[in-house]
This record gives sequence, structure tokens and C-alpha cells, in this order.
Amino acid sequence: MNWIYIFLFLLMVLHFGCVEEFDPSSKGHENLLVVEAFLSNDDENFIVMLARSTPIDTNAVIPEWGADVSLVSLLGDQFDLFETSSGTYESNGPIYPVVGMDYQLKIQTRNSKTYESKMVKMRDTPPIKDAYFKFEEIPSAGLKGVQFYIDTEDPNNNTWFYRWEWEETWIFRVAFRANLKYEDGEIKDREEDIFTCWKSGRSTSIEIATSKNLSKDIINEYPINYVSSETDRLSQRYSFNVKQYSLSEESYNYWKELQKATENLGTLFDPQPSIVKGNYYNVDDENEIILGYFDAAVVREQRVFVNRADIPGIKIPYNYANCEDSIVSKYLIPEMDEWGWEMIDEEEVAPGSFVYHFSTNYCIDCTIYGTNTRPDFW
Amino acid sequence: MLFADNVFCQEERFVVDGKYEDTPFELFVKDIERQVPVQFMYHPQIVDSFYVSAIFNREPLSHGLKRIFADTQVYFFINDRNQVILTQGYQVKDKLPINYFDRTGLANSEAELEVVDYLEEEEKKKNLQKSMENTITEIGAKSKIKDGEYSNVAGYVRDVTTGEPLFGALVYIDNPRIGVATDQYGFYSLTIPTGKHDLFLRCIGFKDSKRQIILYGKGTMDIELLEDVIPLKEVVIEAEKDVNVAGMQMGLDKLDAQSMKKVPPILGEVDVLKIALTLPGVQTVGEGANGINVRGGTADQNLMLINDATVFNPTHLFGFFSSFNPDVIKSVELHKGGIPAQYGGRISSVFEVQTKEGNNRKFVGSGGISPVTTRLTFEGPIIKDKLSYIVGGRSTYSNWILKQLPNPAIKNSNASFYDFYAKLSYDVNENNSLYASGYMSKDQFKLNSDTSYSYANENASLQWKHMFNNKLYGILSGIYSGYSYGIFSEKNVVNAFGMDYSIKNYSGKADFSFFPSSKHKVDFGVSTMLYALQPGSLVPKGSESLINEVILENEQGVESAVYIGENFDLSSNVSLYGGFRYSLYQYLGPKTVNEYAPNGPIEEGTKIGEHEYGKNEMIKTYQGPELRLSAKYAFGVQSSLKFSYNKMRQYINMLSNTTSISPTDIWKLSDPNILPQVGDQISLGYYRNFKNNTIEGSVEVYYKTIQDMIDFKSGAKLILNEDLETDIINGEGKSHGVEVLLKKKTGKLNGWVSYTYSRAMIRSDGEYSSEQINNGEYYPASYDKPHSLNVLANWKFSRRFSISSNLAYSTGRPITYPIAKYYYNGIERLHYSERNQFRIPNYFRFDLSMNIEGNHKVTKFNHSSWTVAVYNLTGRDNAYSIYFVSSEGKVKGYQLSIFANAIPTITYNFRF
Repeated sequence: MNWIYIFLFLLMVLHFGCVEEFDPSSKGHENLLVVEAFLSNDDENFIVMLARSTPIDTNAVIPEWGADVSLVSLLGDQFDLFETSSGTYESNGPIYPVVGMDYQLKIQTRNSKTYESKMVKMRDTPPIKDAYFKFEEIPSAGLKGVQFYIDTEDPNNNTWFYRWEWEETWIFRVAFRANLKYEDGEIKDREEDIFTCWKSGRSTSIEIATSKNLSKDIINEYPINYVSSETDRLSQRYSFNVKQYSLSEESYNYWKELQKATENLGTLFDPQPSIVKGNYYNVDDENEIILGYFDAAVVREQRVFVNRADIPGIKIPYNYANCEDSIVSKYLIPEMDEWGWEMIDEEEVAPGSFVYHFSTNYCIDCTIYGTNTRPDFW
Repeated sequence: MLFADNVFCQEERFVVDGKYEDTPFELFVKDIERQVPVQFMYHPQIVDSFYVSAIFNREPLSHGLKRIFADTQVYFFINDRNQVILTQGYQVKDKLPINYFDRTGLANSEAELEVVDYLEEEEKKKNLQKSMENTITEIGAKSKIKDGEYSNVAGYVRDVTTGEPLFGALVYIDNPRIGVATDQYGFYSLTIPTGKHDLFLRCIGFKDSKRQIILYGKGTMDIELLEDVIPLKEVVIEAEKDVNVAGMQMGLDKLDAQSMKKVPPILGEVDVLKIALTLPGVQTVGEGANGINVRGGTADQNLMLINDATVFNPTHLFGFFSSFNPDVIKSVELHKGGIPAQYGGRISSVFEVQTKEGNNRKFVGSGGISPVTTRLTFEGPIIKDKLSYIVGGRSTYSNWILKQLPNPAIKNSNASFYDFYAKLSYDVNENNSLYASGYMSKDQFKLNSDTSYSYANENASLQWKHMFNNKLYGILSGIYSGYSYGIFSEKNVVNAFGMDYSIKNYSGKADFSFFPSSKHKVDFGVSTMLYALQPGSLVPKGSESLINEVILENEQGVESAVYIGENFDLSSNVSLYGGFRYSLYQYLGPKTVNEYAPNGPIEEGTKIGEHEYGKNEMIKTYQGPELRLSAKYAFGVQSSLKFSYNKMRQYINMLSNTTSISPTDIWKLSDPNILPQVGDQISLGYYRNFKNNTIEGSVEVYYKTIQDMIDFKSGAKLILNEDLETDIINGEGKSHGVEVLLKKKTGKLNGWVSYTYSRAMIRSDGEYSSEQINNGEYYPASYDKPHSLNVLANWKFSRRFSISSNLAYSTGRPITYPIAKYYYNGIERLHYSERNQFRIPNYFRFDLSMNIEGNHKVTKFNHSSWTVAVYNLTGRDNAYSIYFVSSEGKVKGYQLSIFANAIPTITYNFRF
């Protein structure tokens, strides 16, 4: 139901409504255990993170340390996890769960409370049929950009519920390529490339869909993310990587409820936000609420690149438009350095006579904003 | 008789003598003609039922006649040929009498004429009134009047200008004090001692009046009343002054068209539902929200009626406007407690909209233009005094406005609505009347070329009223009410769909009113209604769509009732009302009904099978008596104490688990798993009038319980759900409150102050944890607002200029507030726990409006007025909701206000 749009629309048309942001204050707190665990078939260690919830006006992560965590299969296989950092528990190597097998997470906290997840079946996930983008305008916001879509399909009609996560990476360059640096009173060559960097981001909202009301197990044109000309993401090359997981109907409902209670609010027709029930329970106290949902599924991935040439006629803001270089003689180099300017290069204005180009840190060093490590997929 | 003064100028030739006492005019004429050589010339109608009581003591005839016709509308003129010519009615004079302006004290200017027009109109009316009041009407076959004998007089009370029946007009005699109020057809039946009486008449918006009658035996008398100051719309609500104290009713609020106009409009629209919110005991979840909550009931527990037909969704544009066109509304009654036995089917209130009947004397029209809509209403006779029509329509031009906006997204959106109402009234003969009316409202909206929504109400009714005799009449009604909505989307070809929902309601009923004696009034009747629901269908649109067709099985049920209610005046102090209604509800096949394990919660997991029922097979029957009792004890004429109890049963519920009810909420019949709701209410009230009945005050307390109140499990899915019962809990509700109302109806400053303290709680304490909300404790309903204050004031500066203001204050509504924050998958999330444990900030709003009447020249074709209003004058950003959203990985809190600024509007109204 598109009530959000209806409402925004009304606000726009009638220009009298108003949404104001405020800092919520805490009105009582329940200290709850949060369990984050997802079992997959990738080559990584199986990781379980345990933490405690915090009051809503507090910004802190309170890890639940000192717990015993293990994964057991229906056949009785047991994989113990080890605390690698406070609240983070890892298996000793990848687990490679068996598709179709049931798994269960068991936790005993340091104050001897025992928690278990329900038995969860390791599900297969069909490959992504296609991930692609289209050039689209959002006239109401005056935006142009690319809309990414997912098409997927299970020819066996056996999946019906899907979840996606995505990761974006884009390349960007700063204003000046700095070849030299001034360090310890000396002019040196810069070995490290700080001109070209990559920046990454990941999905921040819940992306789920179901084909349950269709006659075939097909997801057509699921709009997963919109990248607009508001940022510099599309300035040169942009990578969009999608991971697809199959869901059970129960886990789909969990994500749906979480979405309803924490994302789709703010309309005239809000549902009552309510407890989102996961699948963990305290063995001795059925009333204790544990946050999180233990799930297991094969992951499928697909990566899409958007090159600048794919999207002509779109204006991308340049973050370094205000960068200027200053030219000084060598006598002023220590002073420039003291003021926090960075050396870019030297220029021979007359034989043997050099001047030096300087600019601010931000204009020459891309690592301030991203990383200069080239991703493997690039 | 103002303009008769010029007769003095005439020469006096005839001197007469005589003594007359209640002498019929014809006899009087004969006597005069015998004495002096004059000839009276007149139409007999002029002096019909005119009795002369006068003594002529050798005086000029013109003096005597002047005395007789003083205070009547009859004019006389003696011409050269010794003819006495009698005329009736008002004549426009070329010249005004010299003393005319001495009386009014106004200058000679153009404004003068206007005033003259007005005064002439007033004068004309005054004369008419006097002539009606001085006429003695004999009722029944003449016979000797015996002491202590009672007889009955009945008839209709109508508006003299439009012929429209007047509802709620009081007809009474003073000694002994016996009176009744007219019903919705303007009918009254009064049993009083035989003999001579002054029959007093009072009705809101009409001049107080009286009729002199001599009651010999059973008979009829139709009465016409003069509207109070027609061209000025001066609101002098004098009628019903003591109804507050003397009337039987409690928990009843009545609004008429006049008083509705006094409330500052919202976005230029006079809106009955919004005005109802200024009454004590009526709440809403927020401004712009659909639906009202009466005494702790949900929005669907109000029986919304327009001319006896149920309206399932009384709003336009997501709830911003009610779908009742103010121009066709005659009155609105809201029964909050002490609900009479003829009403049933909803447990909280009856919200009854009575529409106007067409003017059966002349063609008139009215309309208005506001920033959002244009209205136009026409009415007039087809056969004068017999058959009349009224047609009213309203439409928005929001679509046109949207198209003008530069923003393409909005340009591609559209939102429109209209409503249409028509009624025919036919007085076949003295004893039979027929009424046919139709109503429809439709909304459509589409947002940025994506999904389109539409919803519509359709109502039609046919009623036949038959008078068996003076003491008994009956009304036979056939009514259809329907509501449907549709959603349509084809942006994504694979998922293109159309979704539809509809409810149809056919009902037939017979209602009778019987007036056996002056102390008794009995209402009784039977009704039956068939519900046919199409609870939802989802169909693919286009050849590429893969949408699975889902068509939920139709539902049908029959709700029938018999009722009888009797008003009985035990003594002059004590009156009683006893009502009994028996309702029977049958849920009928064909239908497949889910069956659940008997000793477990109703959940998907406990479903053990299905049972198929054939066509018209009885699936489940619910029934029960509904008792309605009221009692009044009057302490003299100034104050009274009233008590009432009522039980109500509701077999159809609207399912909505959103903050405000939405157009796509569905109605669901009670079935084997979803039980009917039963409400019980007791209330006690003290009523007192002050300052010669100009100020009326009341305090009412009530306590109400609701069995099997519909509550929803967290995350309930209500649309296209084949196992709806698994998401619903049969909870219970209780509410109580104190309502204080102080109302000043007359004077330059008038209005009301209402304060309500109330609580509305819900408990869902099922046997199983899945059927418990908030651990089975009572929790506040989302419309629970303990303190609520409304002050409505209207200042009348002059006949042309008035200012109205409305102040509203209430406690903030409860919301579910997060109690913990956590990271999940790298994103901040919130954990909510118990429902409705915190509140949004308190609500405060002040509105002001100014009403400027146009030129008052009566002869002017068009009477117009302007209303300039500012809604939320202080610009306070009242919170509609407070909510939290995870966005870009972080939780942010937001306060949403619907009207965060002062909203000025201007409306133009006209009548012709």
C-alpha cells in the first residue's frame, strides 16, 4: 500500500503538513539479548554476534561476552564457536552446511542462561536471473540517476520468498595527483597512490519480495536501489553487487514485520508498531524476548557495473570543484607544511628554478574519504 | 397593521353599533350590511376561521374594522361605491408612511431600501404570524365539551415558505403541560383535554408561535411555521429551550444546519463530522483522520445513517472531508447513550443525518465555492404542495489544481471526489406520502502514474408513510446501501493487478408510531437486512501478469430485529422509557468455514479442517435481547435527573489495525470464529437550565463495557486473508467518562463549552499467549484522550457580520513507543513492546472565522455570504504521530503534524 506516497503527496499539494526530526528520549528500557547469526555456504567462518540492546537515546554497542556458542545439526554434528573479539564468536574455519539439513544455534551466556534457536533448514537459493539498471528520472525530486532492478526466478517453483543485500563501490579521483611530499624537512617522492580511491556502501534497508501471489516463482523488476545524480557515485564507474538469499515463509514474515515496525512508518495509516518475534528462545523462560532471527541459506551474487558512458546526459556533481593549488617558492615550503598544506608537485619555471604546488589535504588525498586499495573485482 | 394607517384619510360616512363575541366573520358582515349601506367584497379564504370579538359603540366603521383587523394581514378599503374591499397579504407601497423611519431611526440612503426590504419582510411575517395566531381553529365534530374528556389532534408541522416538514418541533399546551416533538416527517400526535387551548410551537430556526384551537373531538391540523428572519440567517435558537431539562433524551446531541455554519470551517468546508468533534464524548485519533470515536468506541461502532441508509465510509480524500454535502443536510443527531429501541446494529452511537426535503412552494437553489470544492443544490415543486425534489451535488477541482502545479510528479497524480444526493417527496394524499432518495459519493486517486485507488458509497431508499389514523402511522422502507473499493496497478507488467472489495446491504423495515394517549407514545417495528460481501478479489491485469487470481468466498448474513419502545409520563415529574429489541443474526452459506481444534488458540497451526456449507445453509446464529431503558425525574422546570441503560449488539465489524481507518479497510461479518460485539452502557445525567432557559447545562457520566471487542494480533494481515480469524482476538473493552456541557443558544454571544474526562481501555486476555496483548492487561485504546475541552463561541456584531471561534484542547493520544535499540545486520533497529503505553504531546488548536452577509435586499435575486476562516490560527504544530524510522543505518525520530501552520480559507456561499 502506497500510503507513504499518498501522504507525501498531500503534504506537497497542500503545503501545510510538516515532519520534524527530533532526538528521541528514552522512556524506560528493556535490556534484551540480540543474536545475529546467518549460516551460509561461503568460504568464510560462521560468525555469531551477541550484544545487548541499549536505551534508545544511547549510542553504544554492548557486546555480550563470555558466552558459549555452538551450532548443531539435526544429525548431531556440533560446531563450537570461539570468541574472537568481545561479543563476536567465530567457527574454526568455514562450515559448509548441507542444503536440506536442519541446524540450530545454542548459546549459554556467562550468567548461565541457555538460549536456543529453532531448528532451521539450510535452503538452496536460485541464482539471480538478472541484475540491471535503467536510467530513470524522479521528477518530483528533480533527480536523474539509475534504478537497479532484480529479476529472479526459480524454475522449480520452490523458493517464493527472497531477500537481497547489496554493496556498492565506486571509483573517484581527487583534484590533484600528488607526486611529491614534504616530510621531515625533505621533499620526497610519494610512493603511495592517493589520487584514485574507491568508496563502498551497503544496503541500509530491508529488501525482500515474494512471488507467493503469482502463478510462477518469478520476481520481475524488483526495484532494489536508486543511485541519483545527487552524489558523485556515478562520476566514473560504479559497481553494484547484489547477494540473494532465499527465505522461508516464516523468515520472510520476520523481515516484513521488522520492516513495518522500523521503516514504513510516518503515514496517516501506520500500523501499530509491535514486537517483532524472532526464532530464539530462552530454554527456561518462554516469556523472555530475544531479538534476532537465525537463518540459513545459500547465497547467490551478481555484480553490475555502470560506466559513465552508459549514462550520457546526466550531470554529476564534482566534489573537488573548489580545489585550488597555491604556488610557492621553496622558501615557503616549511611554512605551508606548518599550516597543513600538502605538496602536489614541483614545476621548473626556469632552468634549475623550481616552484612548488600545494593544496589542501582534502584535494589531494583520496584516502580521507575512501580507500586506495583496489578491490579484487575492479 | 402598519400600512392600514392611510385609511384614516378617508371620509367617515358610516357609523355602526354592535357587540360580537367569537362571531364568525360571515355573520358579522351580515350584521354590518344590515346597519349601513355597504357591501363587503372579499374572497372567503381571507376570513376563513376568522372570528370577531369586538364592541362597536356608535363609531365609524373604519375605526371598528381597523380594530378587528389590527394584528392581522387583512387590509380593507372603502371606495366611492360604498364597497368594503378586503385584501390579504402585503402590498408594496410606492411611498412609505411618514413615521416609518422615525421608528427605525435610519437615514435616507441606499442602505435604507435594504433595511426597508428587510423590515417589510419582517413586518409581513409578523402580520402573517399574527393572523395565524389569532385564527381559532375548531377541531373535531362540534359537540358539547365535557370536563376531563381527552381527544387527539395530529398533523404536520411545516415551514411556511418551503413546505418542508420540520423535525423536532415542539407542540404543546401549557395547562396541563402536555407536549410532543414532531418526528422526522414533521408529524405530531397530541392527546389533550377537549376544549379551548393555546397550542404552542417551538422549533429551532423558526419563530415561536401558537395556535388557538377548540378541540371538540379527534381531528387533524397542519401547522406552518415562519422561519426566523430568513434573509439574515440570524441564528436565534429559541426553540427547545427547555428540552434539555424537560426532554426524555440523554446522550443526544443535535446539530442543525444553522448551528453548523457557526463552526469555523476546515479548508473552507463545513463538515458535520468535524463539528461533531466539538461535542462532549466525541474523539478522533488525529486531525484529518477518518472516523470518530464516541464514548470509547471504535469508528465502526457508529451507525452512520443518511435517511435511514447506512453509510459505510462517510469520508472523502483519505478522511480530510466528510462525504455529507452541508447544503442538503437538515439536521444531524448523535445518540451517544440512551439509544432508542428502533436503532440497532452498532454498539457505540447512532449518527443520523437527515436531509432536507425539496421546497414544495417554489424553486430555490444554493451553493458555494471553497478552495477545495464547488457545491450546487436545487429544489422545488413538481406539483405544488404535493411533489417536490431536491438535488445536490458537490465536486472538487483538486484535479485541476494538481494539473496546474509545475511539479511533474504531481501533474501525473490525480485525486478527485464528488458526491450527489437527490430526493423526491410526494404527498399522495392526506394519509399517504412517498419518499425516494438516492445518495452516492465517489473518490478516486492515483499517485504518480502508479497505483490507482477508488472507492464509492451508494445508497438508495424508498419509503412509504401511511397514516392509519390520528394515533397511528407507519413507515415502510426499502433501503440499499453499498460500499466498494478498487485498487489497480499496472506499472510492473508481471505484477499488474486489480483488487476489489464490496459490501452490499439490502434492508426492509416497517416502523410504527402509536400515540394511545397524551402520556404514552409507543414505537414498534420489524426490520431485516441482508448483507452480501465480496471480501476481496485479486485478479491479474494484462496478458503478461502472473498474478494468481485470488477470489475470497462471498459472505452473507441476515440481521433481523423486532422492537418496541414506549414513552410513558408517570407524573409531571417522572417519565420513563422502556425499549426492547430482539436481534437475530444468521451467517449463511455457501461458504467454507475453517475449523480449529476446540482446546487451543485459533492459529494456522491449530486448524483441523474445513466445513463446507451449502447455499443459504445456516452456518451460525447469534441472537439476543437488547434492553433500552431511560428514566427522568424533573425537579420543577429548571432541572432534572436522567438515567439510561442500553444494550447493543453488532454483527458486522470493520477491520482496521492502522492508526486512522483507511478507505481500504474491510468490513467483516461475524462468523463462527469472530464473535459479535455486545455493548452495555449505563449513564446518569443532571440537567439544569439557567437564566430563563437561555443557558443550559448538563453533566453526564457513563460506564460502558464491550464484550468480544475486535482486537488485532501484532502484524495482523487483514486484506485478502482467507484465515482472518487467526489474526483477530475477541477482546473486551471498557470505558467511562464525565461529560460537561454548557450551552448558550441565544444572544449576541452564543456557543458552547464542553469538557470531557474519559478513558477507553481494551483488554485481550485470551487463554493462550498468542491471544494476549500487553500480557492480558487493560491498555488504552489509541483514541483514549482523558481530557478534552472545546469552546465554541459566536459573536454577532450586526446582522451582516459575525465572528466565530473554536478552541480545542485534548490530551495526546497513546502511542506505542520503542523501549530498546539494537544493531542488526549493521543497521539500527528499534524494539517495541507494550501497546499504547506513551502519549504524543497534548493537542491545542484555535480557529477563527468571520461571516459576512451580502446585501439583504429581499428582492435581490441572490443572497450571498462570504466566510473567511483561519484554521489553527496559532499555527501550532500539533503532533499527529511520533514515529521512528531506520534510515541510512540510523534510527531517527520524527513528529508528523498534519496542519502545522495557520490555514486561511475563503468561501463564497449563495442562495437564489
